[in-house]
Amino acid sequence: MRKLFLLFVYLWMCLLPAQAALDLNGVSITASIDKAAITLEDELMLTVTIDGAAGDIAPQLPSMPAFNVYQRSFVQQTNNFHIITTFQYVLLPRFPGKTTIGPITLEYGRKTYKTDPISVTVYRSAQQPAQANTQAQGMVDTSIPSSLRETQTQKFAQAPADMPTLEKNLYNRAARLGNKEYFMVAAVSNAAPYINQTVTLAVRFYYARPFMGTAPYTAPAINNLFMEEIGRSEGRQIIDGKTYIYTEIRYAVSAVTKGPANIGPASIKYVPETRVNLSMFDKMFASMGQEPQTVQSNSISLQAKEVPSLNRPKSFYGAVGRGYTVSAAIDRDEVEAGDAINLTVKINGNGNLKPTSDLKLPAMAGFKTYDVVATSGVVPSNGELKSYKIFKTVLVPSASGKYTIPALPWSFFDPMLREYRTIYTEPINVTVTPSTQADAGFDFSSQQDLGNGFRQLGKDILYLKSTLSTNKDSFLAKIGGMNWLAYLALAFLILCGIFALTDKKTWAQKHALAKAKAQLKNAYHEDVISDALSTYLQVRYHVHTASLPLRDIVSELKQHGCPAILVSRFEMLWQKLNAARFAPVDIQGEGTHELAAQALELINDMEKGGQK
Amino acid sequence: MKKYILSLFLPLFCTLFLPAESMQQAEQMYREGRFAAALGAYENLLKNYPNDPHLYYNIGNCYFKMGSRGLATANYYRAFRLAPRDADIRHNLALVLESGGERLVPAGMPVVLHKAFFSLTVLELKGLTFLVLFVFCFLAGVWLCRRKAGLWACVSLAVLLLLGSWYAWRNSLLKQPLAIVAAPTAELRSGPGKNFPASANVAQGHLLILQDSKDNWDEVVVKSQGIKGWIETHDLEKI
Repeated sequence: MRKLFLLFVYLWMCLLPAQAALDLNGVSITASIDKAAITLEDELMLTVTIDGAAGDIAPQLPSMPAFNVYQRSFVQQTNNFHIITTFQYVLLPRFPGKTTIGPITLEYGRKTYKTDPISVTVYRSAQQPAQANTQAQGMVDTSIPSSLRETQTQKFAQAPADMPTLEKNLYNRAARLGNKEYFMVAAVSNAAPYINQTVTLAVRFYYARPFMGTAPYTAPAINNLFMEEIGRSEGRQIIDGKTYIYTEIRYAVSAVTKGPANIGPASIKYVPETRVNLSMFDKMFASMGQEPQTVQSNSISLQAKEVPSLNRPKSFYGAVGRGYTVSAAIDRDEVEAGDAINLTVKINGNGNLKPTSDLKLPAMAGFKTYDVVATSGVVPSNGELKSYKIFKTVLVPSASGKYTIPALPWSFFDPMLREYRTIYTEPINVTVTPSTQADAGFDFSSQQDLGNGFRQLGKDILYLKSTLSTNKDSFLAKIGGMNWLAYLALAFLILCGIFALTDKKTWAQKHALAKAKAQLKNAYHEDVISDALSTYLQVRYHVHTASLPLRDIVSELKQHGCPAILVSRFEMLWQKLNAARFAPVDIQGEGTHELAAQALELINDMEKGGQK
Repeated sequence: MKKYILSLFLPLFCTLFLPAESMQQAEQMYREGRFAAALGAYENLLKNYPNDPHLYYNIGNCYFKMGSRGLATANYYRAFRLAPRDADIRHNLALVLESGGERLVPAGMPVVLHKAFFSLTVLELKGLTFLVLFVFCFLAGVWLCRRKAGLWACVSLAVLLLLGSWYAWRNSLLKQPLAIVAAPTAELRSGPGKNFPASANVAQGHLLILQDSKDNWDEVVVKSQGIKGWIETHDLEKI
């Protein structure tokens, strides 16, 4: 097995030169440029394509004193043993005039391959033909105004006043560091933004000479900021007569809270290219053993401020920026009562919507609402940060009918106008039909056979009342409305109580006394005197004389508080009356009138005694 | 002169005939299945006759047919409070309560006793209590002044206490802050906010006793279950 493998490797190695020899017949080299006429501010892209050559190959560029030459890329593609290698170079013109790029040669398989010479015309800016000007504008940073082009050819000067703040800051910083071969600068578009206001941060790496291999980049550290990368670009700037290529990375940053916010330095590690005209193979290994160098950008401090509280609408959730749009949509506009409708509210615009608060839905008549669920994202677009926020919620209509989801407000603060603006969604109409789902436990289809030919099919509510209620207030209800009646009754009771408390003699007692006196005044017989006395004692002392012997009557009177002297007088009088009634012969000369007078006197004394 | 006479009699005419006509129109809409339109008509009438039990009953019917059992129950309950002897109102209220797992007549209580308890309105009960109070005060006064009719005074006092208790009980039921779950389902949470965990889902039509209120949340006790918790105000219909 091992022998077979070794034989295969040997055969393959023998075949390689044969294949190379075959390939020699198909080797070719071509060169092309992207434009034939440029200005001093433009750059020229030279593409060298080698077809059919394999291994470590590198074209030999001719001397080009009219250009600064930088290699940009190297791509090798293999398709079915056919190899195409492409080299790209950036040529920066140094002098105006007509110049020629000489033949580019390739040494391969003991043969030399050459390209045809290429002619290029380099114009000054003023000489720039219309076509060349148009092409040139497509190659440089179009955000740089035309006035900058003029200043670029001069020695360092301050950036023009009409330049945007960010570009101006970058320009001025770069101009100050223009004596170095490699340097980095960073600048922001606004150093005192509002919370959540998007500020553009640009970090540029300038190099006047190429560097070996790749240069690892470290993004700046941030504090109290939210940062999103929004794009990368390359450009060229002439500082103090020296041409620099720069790579720019842009970020959108926004302050999280009020107060200071910091952007730390970004950095790049690179290995400077010290030798020229190195082959690809050499370039791959030339950086080995060399110590990489580091450049850092400057730090930046921001001072974030709060949006004004004056006139701040309730529908403001923290968005600061411009060009926002809001829309609302539902997944269906006809539902049954109790079924859910999905409501989606989408907000688009410039700036970062991620840190803004969630939309709060107002109470909607006829709907049960739930909290919204928010998703957000950012979309870098042409060096700007565009973002969106989508709120989703569920609305459940309580009853059937036609409803309208009202226009939902959403406010943002416009930092340019320094005022709040409110935008609205369109109102949405919803038709809610009655629910066709029977509630659990509510059986309209029960079929109970109750016998006698009667089968209950279900239950339903009873029919409407066709008239208004005719039941006027009943007598009792009317009485119930007369609260004064209760007060009157209670007042009557209180009066009776007061009357009873202030005069201990009851009306019955008074009546009994008066009656007894009247009887005694007109007494014609001892029985009348006895009756009057009995009636009085019954009411006054609650003693019933009719059925009791004298001894018990006396005892009862004493128990009911009658004074002892009055009791003894009563005892004597009662004996006299009994004697007169039952033994009139033995009476000791006292007549009826005298006994009546004694009884009257006793009653009067009892009244007095009772009051004591 | 004719104008003056017409202007004098027009309000009387409107009062007498327009409600009947509106009731007929609303009933026609109801029969045609246009329950939402009928509901609107009945609610308009309710503005002029705010204590009419028949209007509440009809509104309850409309809500029931529109599939909103919670709002139907709330309106039947209002009608029942105004006219507790009405058999139709009692029937519909019992039916919707039963469908939601609630009971109009508490378990173990004879229906006859429940009907007797609700045989009078609270106002009628109050009037009856006043009458007995009046009788008692008279008899007590007679007893105080003449020491007569003491027995009748005692009997009237006993009746008065009985009626007073009855009235107090009914009045406390009337004053009890009740609500119905109006949303298809409501979440019962342990605190007044969505950050508190939900302990139960309460279906529409359940009777709730309101206990407290904070912001847009109400503390309630689910009457049939005895569970206490917080529900969002817009999920409820207060009776």
